[in-house]
Amino acid sequence: MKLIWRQVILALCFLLSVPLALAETAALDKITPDAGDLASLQRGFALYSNYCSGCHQLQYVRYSRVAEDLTIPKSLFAENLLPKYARIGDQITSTMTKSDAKAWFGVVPPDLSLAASRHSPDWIYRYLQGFYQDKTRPFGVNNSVSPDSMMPNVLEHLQGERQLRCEEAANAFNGKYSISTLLSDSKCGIVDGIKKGQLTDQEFKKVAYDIANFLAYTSDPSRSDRESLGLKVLLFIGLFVLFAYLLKREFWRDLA
Amino acid sequence: MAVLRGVVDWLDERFPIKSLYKKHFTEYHVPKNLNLMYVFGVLALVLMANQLLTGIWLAMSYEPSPEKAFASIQYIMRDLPYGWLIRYLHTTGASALFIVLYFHVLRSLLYGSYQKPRELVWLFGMTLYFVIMIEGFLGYLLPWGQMSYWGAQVITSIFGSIPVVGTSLQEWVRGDYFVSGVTLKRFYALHVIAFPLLLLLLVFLHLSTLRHVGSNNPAGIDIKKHRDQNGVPLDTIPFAPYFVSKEVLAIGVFLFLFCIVVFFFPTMGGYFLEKANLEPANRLQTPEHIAALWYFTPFYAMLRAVTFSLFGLDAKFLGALVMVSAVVVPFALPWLDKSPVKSIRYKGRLSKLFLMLFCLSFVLLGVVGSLPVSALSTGIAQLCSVLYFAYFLLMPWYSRYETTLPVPERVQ
Repeated sequence: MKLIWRQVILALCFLLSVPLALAETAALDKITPDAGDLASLQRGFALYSNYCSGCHQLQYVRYSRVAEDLTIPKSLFAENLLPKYARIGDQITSTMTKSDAKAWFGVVPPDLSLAASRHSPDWIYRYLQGFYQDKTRPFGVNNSVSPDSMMPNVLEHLQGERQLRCEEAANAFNGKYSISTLLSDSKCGIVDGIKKGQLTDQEFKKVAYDIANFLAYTSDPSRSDRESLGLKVLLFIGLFVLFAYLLKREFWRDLA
Repeated sequence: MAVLRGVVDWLDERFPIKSLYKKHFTEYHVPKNLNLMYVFGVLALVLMANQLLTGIWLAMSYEPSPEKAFASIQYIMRDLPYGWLIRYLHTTGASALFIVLYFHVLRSLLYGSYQKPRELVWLFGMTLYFVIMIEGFLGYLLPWGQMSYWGAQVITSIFGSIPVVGTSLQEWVRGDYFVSGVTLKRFYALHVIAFPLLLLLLVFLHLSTLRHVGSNNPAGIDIKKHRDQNGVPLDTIPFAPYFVSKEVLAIGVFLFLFCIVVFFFPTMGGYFLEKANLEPANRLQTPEHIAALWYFTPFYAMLRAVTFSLFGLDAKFLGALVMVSAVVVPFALPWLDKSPVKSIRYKGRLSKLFLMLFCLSFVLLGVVGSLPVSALSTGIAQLCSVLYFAYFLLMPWYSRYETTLPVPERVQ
């Protein structure tokens, strides 16, 4: 009798573990942006300045606001993070002209001020890790999150080359299914390529997280102000409701 | 206190504020059995005031031109101190106003508040709803995002589907061959001047007709039948301070919920502020799925539900006719309802069934209207459109022939 119970419990545990395991694989691609993690935001901005700002813009964001929100002293900011052509009150624009961008990349690289709201911080996090070698593309790389993206893999020397490896069956349907479907059906996978990067997988994930976190901040810079003010407002209205209730009860006592 | 009394007396000699206050507050009597469904009117008023005030401050920093509109919104959200608060109050307020109005209208349908002698209250109210929808639509173009642009493009193209005069009418509405800077500027002018003025007038008419005939009540009892020796209807309470104190409490609770959204979930998962609208308008790139704002989705679903041509008329034109009828037919409600009783409490089974189906179909239409078109969504939209109209068009029949319950003489 005991044995049967043990088997039942084991079976139940097994059944429960399946969705848990699935949830875990999905959770790998999910991140929680943390507007309070200033160190991550500062690293994110440094990475943005080094790797993104040549082509992309944050045209609705000002340097001074970033310095203030990320608590970077203005003098330090001006010395290390401010481009020579810009003043601290300026908006974060790139020096690449639209016509140059079209000639070099075929498209104007999108402004990133609102990118994390337009897609999601997760999307950026996955996109940055989604590059793989593809000889048919102009820059030799393709992206599994945004197929046929025109962006070169600027972080390749950190991440290393990545290869797409597919099952036979998937190759047979080449072109018929999108790469994201094949990846989610685990018909294909992205594995390490020949050239190794400077960072380990974990370190690179952190790089992708910091950039995604920084862009989550730029797409919603008022968030921390908003939430802290919101608590005070709710507290005030809560008190107001209490007194409004007492007042109403007092008046309605006449009617009883 | 004495100073205040002096000021009031001075004013009263020149303008009848004392008698107005008496007439509309302390000696205005409302049924004592008004329930929670009766607070949505004042909530709508609070939200209209919110829209008006935040709108004034938004207009100070917004620039109605295709080059600057999108950037000026970002300027308001980022550079202007508390600009984000003003804008989120405005955007959340628009959605909240529709939620409140849908409950307000449901109240009228439940308790027969549109019936004699409140037909004018209903007509002004429906006109208000219609004008608020247009106001919302006009305002939605102003951020000049992709959805703003293509939403306006789709809705103004409806004029183009009208036979014979369509094309020229469409150009007249847009002021151009396509939605352009000209359209943006005229929508702005209408949104901030013309329609708010019209709305003020309509609110005044809606409220003054209501004050003249008095509120209905959940039991649908005519409270004016039984009066005391002073002529005051029995079963009533003075509006002030009794009902007012209840409304103040309701406003407080509502503001609490409202502020949770404003401060913590201003985009409401992409329903109050759509993700696709975070890209500036691009005339050369049609989005794959043009979604309507959530409060238009029931009507948008009806527009898309007609997939066939009839009598040589284009499907799009027929869809537009259905959509417009969905707003116009309810105007006739006071004359469609032939029931001897007002409240759903004493109406028969058929009325209850049709009202339930109506509510269900409205919600379902809203759901399918927000999804991309598929065979299933079109099927549901067609069925629900039929149920929506059945509630109104079959009402003369089912409200007359069903057996109703006797209405009590007095409020219990």
